[in-house]
Amino acid sequence: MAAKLLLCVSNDRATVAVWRRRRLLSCTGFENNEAGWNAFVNFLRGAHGLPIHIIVDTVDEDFRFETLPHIRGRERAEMVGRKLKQLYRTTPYYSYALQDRETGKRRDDRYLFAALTNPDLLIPWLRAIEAGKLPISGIYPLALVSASLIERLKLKHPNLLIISKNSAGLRQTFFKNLKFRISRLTPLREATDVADQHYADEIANTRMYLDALTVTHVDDTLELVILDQDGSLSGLPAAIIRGRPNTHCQYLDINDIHARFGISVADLEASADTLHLSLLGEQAPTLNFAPSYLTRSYHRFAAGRWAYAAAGATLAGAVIWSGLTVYQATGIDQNTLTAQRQTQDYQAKYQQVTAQFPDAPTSAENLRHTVEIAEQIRTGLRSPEAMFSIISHALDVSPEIQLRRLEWHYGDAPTTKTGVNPAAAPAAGPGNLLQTGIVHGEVTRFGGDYRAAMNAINNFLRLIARDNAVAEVKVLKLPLDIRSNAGLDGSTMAIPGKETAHFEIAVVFRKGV
Amino acid sequence: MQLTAKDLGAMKMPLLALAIAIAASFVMVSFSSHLHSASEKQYRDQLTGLREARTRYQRSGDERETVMNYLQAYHQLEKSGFVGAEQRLNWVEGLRAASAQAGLLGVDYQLTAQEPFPYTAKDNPVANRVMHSRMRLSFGVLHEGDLMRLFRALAAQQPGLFALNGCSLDRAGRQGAPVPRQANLTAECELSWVTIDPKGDKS
Repeated sequence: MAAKLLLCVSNDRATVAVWRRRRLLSCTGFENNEAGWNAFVNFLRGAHGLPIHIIVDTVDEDFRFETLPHIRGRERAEMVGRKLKQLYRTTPYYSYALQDRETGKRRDDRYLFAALTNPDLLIPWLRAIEAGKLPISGIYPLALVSASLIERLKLKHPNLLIISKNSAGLRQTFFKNLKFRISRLTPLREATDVADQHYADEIANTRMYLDALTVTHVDDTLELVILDQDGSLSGLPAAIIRGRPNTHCQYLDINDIHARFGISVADLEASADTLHLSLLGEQAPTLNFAPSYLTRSYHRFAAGRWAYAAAGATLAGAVIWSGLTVYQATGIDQNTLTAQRQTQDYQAKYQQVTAQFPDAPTSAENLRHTVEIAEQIRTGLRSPEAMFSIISHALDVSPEIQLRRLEWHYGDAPTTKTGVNPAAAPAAGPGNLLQTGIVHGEVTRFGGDYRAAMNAINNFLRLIARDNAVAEVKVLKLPLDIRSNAGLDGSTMAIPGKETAHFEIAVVFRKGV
Repeated sequence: MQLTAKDLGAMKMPLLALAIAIAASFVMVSFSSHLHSASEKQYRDQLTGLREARTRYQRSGDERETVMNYLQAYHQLEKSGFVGAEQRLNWVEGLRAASAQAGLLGVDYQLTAQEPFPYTAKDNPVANRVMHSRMRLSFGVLHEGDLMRLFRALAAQQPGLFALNGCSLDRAGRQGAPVPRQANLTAECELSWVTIDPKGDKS
């Protein structure tokens, strides 16, 4: 935890302590006079840059409870602000805390309003702090600083009265159901039996006041915690119990406080305010008297410190991340080197082995693939010989048919004339190649007899299709187009023997032939 | 709370420090991440190399077998003109000799520029190195038998590996019985001269 200054201001004096690494380091007292203020200024010169937290311990304080309608947000702030200004016109040091909500139907909020009613008390000390340019974190009433004792001492009693003897006097702070209720400050007396009885009477008065407020009942047991730093209140428990037997006293002397709070005996002996300064060092109350213009420099200071902390954390995170990453990369590089050595070993062994191979113009795989692909190309070679043979055989037994033109194609895309859809043609590849052919012919001795010519052509087609190598034979063109979806024209006056009977057929071979 | 010039002035150095820290952190993290990525990539590449080297060494026995089995055939392909640069002079000379041998009156030819040969098995790694040049032939023949005689004679010359893509025979208006020692048919053919680029590494 960052270092800070802790200041306890009372009517007669001020005590300042340095808080560093969660410990109170030293306590120094200053009288509330010119000499004390000058000494305080000198002290602050050595504490430049530290934020300062202030406790006020004075009778010039006011605590009161108010019940207000339950509202939230900005409206609540405005309502409470108006109430505070109405209550405390003469002082800028006031604040509030929301205690709890009423159990009634309206569920109103119950507020604690508190103020330092004599602002002059702080003037010389704040002037010195301002001269030293120290940021003020807050100004807190000592009574509310005592509230953290409940947690530290694990106090659970519903009627709890904490008694402490500070520089300003005997402080009584009452907590009902562990929530602050009232606080009183009584001037100090010399440590005698008379003093004990005087303090016991004051405590009895407090009890009667609480009974009168019906905060406690006369038969209620009261848990009393007496914090006695200088050992002057040792007779107080007995004196109290004599007056009101239904009181349970828990007495903590300087050694108990040292043991419970870890504050050195020397510091406890140095000032009566040491314990409360230590409590403030650990945890500041939420109720803060300091007006915003006073804490503005602290907010700047805190924001700056946050920015520095964020910068440090970012840098540290980046350094750690980068360090780890570079460390990992180094490990990977080592593995790479190992793999590289192993690769070189295998390559050297391979070179030794291949040195005994027959001299080859290329790698073994290239040799194999080249020979295989040449073989594959050779296997796929075709010639028109098969087609010529089939057509010749068909012509031999069809004397009325005469060839005019013969086309042969070998590839992956049959001509559109064959009637095969090119879009449906198989993809390129040695296994998908096809032989196709187109025969252009004519019927000799036609004489205008289309029916005879058609029969001759159909017979020629059947002869071709009979061959096992042929997959399909298709007519592309006939002497007379008799399809229903085509037009037809001609003349019956045509001179016999002068007309032609040309036709075209497509031959598609089976795959693999 | 509204920020004043004093607030901003007080925050100048802390914010500057924060900005510098963020920038420096970004640079550090980026640089180290880059180093890490580069190391990882190098390691992955090296592992791939190691696996290949190990596999190659382990298969060196098979490799020797392969060389022994295919070397002679490969040399044969080199000799036949399939492996290596195109031997266009050989093709033309082979065509002329084949034409004479087939008793043809002459063959007109047109050769196109070289291009990838499409009819190869794509699973063969050297398929993309197979090229072909198309040659279109026009010539007259007495009858269809002369056509096959020409290509058989051309194959016998061994000027290279060729594949026939298509042929057509046309009577060109001639009627009646064939006349001896005269071109009765007009033939047009297209063939592909196929070669392979042997640029594979020996390693």
